[in-house]
Amino acid sequence: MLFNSIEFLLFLATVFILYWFVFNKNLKCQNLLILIGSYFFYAWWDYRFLSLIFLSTILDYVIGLNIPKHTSQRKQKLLLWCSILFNLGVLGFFKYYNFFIESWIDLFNLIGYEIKSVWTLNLILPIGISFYTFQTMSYTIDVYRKKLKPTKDFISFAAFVSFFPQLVAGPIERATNLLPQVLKKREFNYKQGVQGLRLILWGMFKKIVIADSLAPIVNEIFKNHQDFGGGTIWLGVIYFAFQIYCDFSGYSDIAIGTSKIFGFELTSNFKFPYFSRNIGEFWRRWHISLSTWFRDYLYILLGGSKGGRFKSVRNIFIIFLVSGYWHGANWTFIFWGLFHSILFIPSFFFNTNRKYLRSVAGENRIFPSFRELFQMGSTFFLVTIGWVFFRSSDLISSMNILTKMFMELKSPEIKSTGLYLIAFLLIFDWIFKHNEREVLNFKNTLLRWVIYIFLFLSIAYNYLNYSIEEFIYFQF
Amino acid sequence: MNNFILKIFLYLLATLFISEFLIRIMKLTNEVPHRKINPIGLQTYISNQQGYFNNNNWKVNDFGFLGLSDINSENQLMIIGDSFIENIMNPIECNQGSNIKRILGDKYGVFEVGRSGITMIESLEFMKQLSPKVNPKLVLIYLSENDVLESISNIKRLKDRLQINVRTKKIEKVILKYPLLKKFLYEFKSLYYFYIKGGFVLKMKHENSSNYEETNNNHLIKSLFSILLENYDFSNVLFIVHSSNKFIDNLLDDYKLENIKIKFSNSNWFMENDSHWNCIGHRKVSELITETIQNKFINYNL
Repeated sequence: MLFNSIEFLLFLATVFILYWFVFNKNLKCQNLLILIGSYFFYAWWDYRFLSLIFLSTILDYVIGLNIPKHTSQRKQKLLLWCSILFNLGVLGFFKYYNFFIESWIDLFNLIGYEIKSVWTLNLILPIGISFYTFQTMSYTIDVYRKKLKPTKDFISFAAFVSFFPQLVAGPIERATNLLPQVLKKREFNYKQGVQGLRLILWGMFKKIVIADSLAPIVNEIFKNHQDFGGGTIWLGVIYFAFQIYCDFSGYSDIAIGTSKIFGFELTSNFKFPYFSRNIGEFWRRWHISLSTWFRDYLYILLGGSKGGRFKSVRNIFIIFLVSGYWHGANWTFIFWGLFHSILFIPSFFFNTNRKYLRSVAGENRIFPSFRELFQMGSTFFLVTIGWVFFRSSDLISSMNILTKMFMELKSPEIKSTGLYLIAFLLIFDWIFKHNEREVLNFKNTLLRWVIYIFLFLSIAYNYLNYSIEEFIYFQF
Repeated sequence: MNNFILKIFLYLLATLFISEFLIRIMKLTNEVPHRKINPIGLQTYISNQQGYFNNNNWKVNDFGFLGLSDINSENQLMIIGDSFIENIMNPIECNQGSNIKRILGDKYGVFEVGRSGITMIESLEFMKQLSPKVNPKLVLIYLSENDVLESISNIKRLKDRLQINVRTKKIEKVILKYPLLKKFLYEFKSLYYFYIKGGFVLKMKHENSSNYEETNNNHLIKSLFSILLENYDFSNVLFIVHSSNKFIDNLLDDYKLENIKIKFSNSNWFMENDSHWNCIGHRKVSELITETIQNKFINYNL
């Protein structure tokens, strides 16, 4: 079920009514409703892959319960590895199997051995698999690290794994954050509910009005890049930068907002990344739940920055490459990760990667300073170059597009009306840049309501008159 | 919680009110005339309604139709057909009747019976019922494959269409489908807009279901034609056949029912995003048939 569909609105209204008006008195019933609702939500897309979620849930539930029962560190580690191998095995099989086979065949062909592709399988990638496998792994790792006590309540645990607002495209929740909320009695909070609805509205606007309006232009330019000049391609790449931002952060806003109306607080996933002043800040503001996951469960496991400069640089490379690879079985994603690691490493050497940990651009000012404008512009420029790898179908296309962008500069041949939408987005983002949870919270009631209605009508108009695209991150 | 629900309700109400206002001001929806079942059991529009469709104004005449309503002329013509003849999507100047009258001249009177969804048997019933009032010398019945198939309840029962059971030879009663809901939707323009844009369609599975199964209905069609020949007078009827199939074409010829078969070759005869003829299409079709009409009148007057 897509968030940007009428069936989701009906589903949401039904679950909301049952949750707060029918099962309000009983936590177990509420959690069971979340579980059934989440499975129904997933089954709407394809019920066959529910078995994978269920299997992953059972395995990690059992392993989680058994880890503390063993006093031997070796046995605990063995159980942990069972969980990791199962989850990564499922992920690897469905997502990367064909890529590995094809890469081997290509390699053999390159050195002169002709091999026919008889090993590749016709696999469907189960939606959300990259997200929920990471979520369940975080549970067993945290139990192993004694950061979390395992739960005996299977329904609550299953509800945590399959929690529908973030099941298919995140934010990737940690058990330490979400599971205690599932286990605790929830009370409806008016402020939280209103905040949730605002986030849903803003997320829908970003997705349906901005991302889906830019999508056809981006698709056309990337598909037929050989027919366009550098100016048009620049426009297409900038549009893609905002398409993917609005698409994914829109999804996250809807997920966080939906959770809020059920009394849950999810992790923030985006904090206005295009206002970042360097690459380090960008990665603290873009897909936060994934980058912190890799930081906590992989970077630190590899030794983090404790083993000297060489080891740290190696770890940074690994993190970025794995992060790129996580997005999909294609060399373009690996290059995207590699490109970002190259951007990141200088700031690591000059110790600027931890700069701007707490502040935002234009702090306590209406407009940013010229220095900040330059910093934000140059960071956006570099990130946008990276998006060329991310969006292209293969590396040769990426190179062709980059060559055109820098060697064939001509003015754009298409209308740049999408820039008005981008300007609108940036103004709103700038106004609420201090707190991503407080979007649309204008102090003036009349202004707030006028904006609510304007956004709603824009969403409805676009929904009814233009094609609705799937969320980009569903494919990862 | 009560405050929360109340605010959502107020918000939706305000949004609905403003969207209703905007849709009316910007004329984002077309207006469709309301229907009734007339005393003889046929479906017509309620008289004297007015509205707009594709920015063209329409008005329902006293007989319950949208088109020309000349009667008792010396050279009286009656044109019967479905949405192509109703032609609500184009200005009335583009109607078949208007085009034929423009070519043949003002001495010809044209009465148009056009209603979307009309079946072949319904066309013939209209002819039977209205002929004493209109006095046509010639009746043109525009016919497509659907009009024939939808006449036969044995193929698929459509309760809002006049149909015949070809086995029992009984005409099936017509009822208006969801009249109150339709009235509500037509009046509530924002909901109607949402409805016509497919907002109520759930997107789990898209099934390309055609109206009719791919079974051979030829024996039923043949039975229909036999019944029609027994019960209606075709002496002054000329069928204008479009979007038909070979079996029906042959049947018309075999039963010696006079007809002109229109073959379409040019896509600019049709409206964008719509399978109906545009003004060019209407003009071209009328040009193709007027010579035959003129000859029929000459023969009749002789």
